[in-house]
Amino acid sequence: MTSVLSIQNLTKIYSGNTVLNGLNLEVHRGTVFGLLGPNGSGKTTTLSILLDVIPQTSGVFTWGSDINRKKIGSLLESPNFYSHLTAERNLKIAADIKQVPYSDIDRVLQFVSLLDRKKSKFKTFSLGMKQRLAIASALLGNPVVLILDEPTNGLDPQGIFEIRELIHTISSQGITIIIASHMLDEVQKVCTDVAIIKNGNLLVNGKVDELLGDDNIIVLQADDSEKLKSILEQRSDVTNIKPDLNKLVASFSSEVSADTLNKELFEEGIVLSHLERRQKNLEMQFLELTK
Amino acid sequence: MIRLLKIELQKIIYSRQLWIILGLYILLIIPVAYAIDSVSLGGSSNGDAMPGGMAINFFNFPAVWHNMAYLFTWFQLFLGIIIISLVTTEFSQRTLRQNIIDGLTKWEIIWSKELVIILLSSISTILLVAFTLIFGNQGPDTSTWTGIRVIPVYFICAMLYLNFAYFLSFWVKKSGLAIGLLLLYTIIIENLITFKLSDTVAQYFPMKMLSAMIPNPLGSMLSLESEVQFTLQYTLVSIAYIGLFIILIKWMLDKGHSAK
Repeated sequence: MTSVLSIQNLTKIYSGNTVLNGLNLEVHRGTVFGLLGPNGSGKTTTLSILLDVIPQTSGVFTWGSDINRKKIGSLLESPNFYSHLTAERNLKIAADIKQVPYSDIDRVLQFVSLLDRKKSKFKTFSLGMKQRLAIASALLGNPVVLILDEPTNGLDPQGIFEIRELIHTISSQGITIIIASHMLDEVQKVCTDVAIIKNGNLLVNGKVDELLGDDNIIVLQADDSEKLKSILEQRSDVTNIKPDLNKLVASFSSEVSADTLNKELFEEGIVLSHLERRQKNLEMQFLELTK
Repeated sequence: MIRLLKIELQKIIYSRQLWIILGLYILLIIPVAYAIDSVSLGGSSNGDAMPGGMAINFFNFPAVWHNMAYLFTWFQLFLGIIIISLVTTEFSQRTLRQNIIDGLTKWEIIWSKELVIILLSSISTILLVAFTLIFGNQGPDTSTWTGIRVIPVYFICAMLYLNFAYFLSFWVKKSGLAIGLLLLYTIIIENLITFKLSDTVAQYFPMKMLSAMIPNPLGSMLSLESEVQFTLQYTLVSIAYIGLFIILIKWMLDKGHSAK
């Protein structure tokens, strides 16, 4: 997989405070990359640096070789437009900046279902509409990468649903999407890859389905750990086994009840000294870090 | 360059505020000129000519060039407000940041506003020429074109003043504050700074220089310099100021000024 964005050792220090501490990340083409972290963890700072809004203190980032700066569509925090101008005139300015023909404006407005409001002034829009207009603007000229910072922030359930649908559709067109969010739930629903940051430090980075897939995780312990392991390995519903001190952490692809498992293992001659259903890896880490 | 100017014009031409200010600018100058004209005539209320044959009619060539240019400098605040409003709106609506995010480079950001300044200065200079030619009274023995050297001087003054407004508004980001600071600086702050300085240094402060380049035409009555100064020195210092303002704006942009 080719890299769309590579970040090495990115650091930002604001008047003595380290808000980003040597961040390293790779974003691959075609992924929906979630930058997950509580408020103030450095997500927006990272995106602002990537988009030239603020300078980094040290470190480098490189966009893929075929990516022209104008081929990156972005929505950073709030939708920012000229309030006295109509949706269409706002998009004309964005189109001129990106050197995209005006003929693309109707297409993107249609995509976010705002075509019938193109002659309305921006200030008359609801927050959901403003957010959709911002996505339309970001899509002008068919970007290679789309950057969305908290795209559902402040929206009602209907608005959140609409934005998520849009993200799915955009992603299915092969556009790489980078989403910053403080909501685990959101990242789980829309992202393929995730990086969790807190206080400017990268905590975890990996595939969403590996880190927070639907697998059931059960922690087991028996006196004969080797035998337990070999029995678990033979089961078709076990996808992964990891040792954790003298316990074993097993991932199950299907729902398995603790008592059934205990019974089945007992029949195999294993007496468990510990049996515990564990919450998903990422959820735990996320709860830990958001404390 | 056309693209940048087009981007900026699209931001302002649909704003009612712009047209009100421009409208007032265009409509007020001539009535004020007539008001001054009547006052200076009334100044010699005893019917005598002013001392030394100074009874100037505002609209007589060639003095009308200088008179009109001086009057135009009074109205520069109007153009300053247009620039301040254009720049501070970009901060209040966070659109400057958005423009950068959308792909404008920092130099493009700077030049796009600079182009508007050049356009406004040109419009203002053209109005000066048009008003002078339309309202000036042709005397029997003077040429209409005597005194036109005020045209380039006026253009330089407008550029300097508007770049100063550009810098101030970029720095403080708030329109009320920028307008207040511009007025305060013009009327009080610069005088306070230059109070203790010798004239050789003080004359190169921006507002002092503006009033030296196009001085009050009636200054000669108080034995002050009243000739339009079209000198290489003033021109170069003006250009240096404009360059300095642009460098400071670039420096602020590089420091992430648009983010907060």
